[in-house]
Amino acid sequence: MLSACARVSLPGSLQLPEQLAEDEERSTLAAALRQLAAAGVECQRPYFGLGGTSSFVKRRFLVPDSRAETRDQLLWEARQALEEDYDDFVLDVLQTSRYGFVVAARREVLELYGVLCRQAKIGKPGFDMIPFALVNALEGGGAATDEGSDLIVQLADTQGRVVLMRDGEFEAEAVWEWEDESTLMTADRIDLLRSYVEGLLDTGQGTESADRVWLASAAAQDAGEHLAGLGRSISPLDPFARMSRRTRADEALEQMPGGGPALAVAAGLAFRGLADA
Amino acid sequence: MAMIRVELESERRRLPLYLAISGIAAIVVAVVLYGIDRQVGLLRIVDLQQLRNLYVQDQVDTNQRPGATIREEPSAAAVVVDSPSSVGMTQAAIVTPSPLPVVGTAGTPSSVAVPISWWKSAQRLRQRLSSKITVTRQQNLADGTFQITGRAEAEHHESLRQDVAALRSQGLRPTLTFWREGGEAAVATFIVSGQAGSDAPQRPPLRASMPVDALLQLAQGHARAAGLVRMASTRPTHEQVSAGNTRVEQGMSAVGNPRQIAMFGTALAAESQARLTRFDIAAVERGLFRVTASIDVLLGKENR
Repeated sequence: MLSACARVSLPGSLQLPEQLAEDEERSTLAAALRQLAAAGVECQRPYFGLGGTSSFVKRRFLVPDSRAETRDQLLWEARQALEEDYDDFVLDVLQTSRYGFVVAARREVLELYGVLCRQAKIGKPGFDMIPFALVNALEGGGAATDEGSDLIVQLADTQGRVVLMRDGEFEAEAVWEWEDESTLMTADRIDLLRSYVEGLLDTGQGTESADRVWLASAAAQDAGEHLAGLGRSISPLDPFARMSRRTRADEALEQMPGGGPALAVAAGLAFRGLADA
Repeated sequence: MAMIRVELESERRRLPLYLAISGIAAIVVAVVLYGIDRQVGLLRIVDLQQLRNLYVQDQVDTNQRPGATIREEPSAAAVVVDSPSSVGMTQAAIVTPSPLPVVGTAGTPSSVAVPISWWKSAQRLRQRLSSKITVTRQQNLADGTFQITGRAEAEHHESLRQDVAALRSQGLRPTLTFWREGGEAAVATFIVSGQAGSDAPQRPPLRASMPVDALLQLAQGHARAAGLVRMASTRPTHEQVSAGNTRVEQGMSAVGNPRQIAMFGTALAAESQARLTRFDIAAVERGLFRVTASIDVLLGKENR
């Protein structure tokens, strides 16, 4: 059940995670988190989505028939790649039926989120990668299937993100910064978005289209009409579609710009938190 | 399809089993060393005269509270620490950390050396847990909370529960949590956490001003003196605690053997220019551990 839903607007945009280290910006975020708690969004463990410079996901190949060896291999590769920075990262591995992924997050950034939570007087933080949160939002919302390809499109003011799933499994992600400072989906932005989507979908045997395109933000929904041809169906990703809702949460959700799809990352993080509990 | 669940938390960092086993063996050795150190000052045995003095001190209760005469300062004067050559470490050159420029009044008078021991709580309490479990990480915070993370085979879960119940009967309010990582792991991970009490100073030392890297240099100086290597640092964090007063906290981590880590902890705990706020140990390689410690000061105008 969706028991509470709230959104707090910050006075300005924040560059995360870099500005977590700034006293003033972290205080602003802490105040926002306290505001959320006051609005009824309270939990034992808040989850944060990682992206940007704080973390990375690298795709590698699997060692056949051995999850343990694949894990060791992926971590060994990560150690070689990170060299002396190895100890500065927290690492884990994701294995699908086709690929192995090394997931890394800077220890320093995780600790800064810990400081933020202490400052906001909320629980100890948990973490997930933003693309995984989007996949989990699709899964938690009941829209995921084990066949065909799914493309999740999430657009924001400063950057865009596309996540490709194949047969129900995470396969790839593309993230980019917009080249202009517009707040609208201009023709240039649409072109850039299409180029990244085509890049993800290109299997080397000619560009294909996805079976389903999911729009996971208000801006993505605005751009949906321009994505024709990239997917056989284009729909908003509503992570709460199959969920019963308390009246207050339902009202709050309806008043939010973009509705449920705009909260796809938050919902994916929450679903993950529920799975961990 | 299943939900993606990667673990990106440092305390759940998984280690190969052989590392964890060697890690626990080294921790046990470290704990034994701590115990011996508390009795005879093992880390300060440098010459006969000092040994004789320490032998006399052995008659004194080392658990005395502030104001007692026991000194547990990091004796950097002549301690020589051998580092394992297998990992490329060389014999540590002892460098006495340069002091912070004193421009304010320190919260703890430097003339009184008090044996602060909260940072060893997890190590101490681990000894009261079954020797058949594998401990991968021990964490201590200055507020007295501790956390012991490890893995335990199913047949040892009951004895672990009994050990934790025994700790509870002693008023430590421990909690025991089990979980299985990835759904396939045969060995469950556990965390024992609780409150062991703390003898840490209530406030960090107060300073009117401080160079940007002073805290880091202070901590790194002690780390080098102890022979630790592979140092990493976090950005200092700033927290406004009251008007005109900001708490600055600096974290760092480094790798070393149990003896070096014990020296490092002893030095930081006895440091009068900053307050130790966190002390964690995690097994990283055969016989080696990564220690992560944080220290803080209060930057401000008033000393109230």
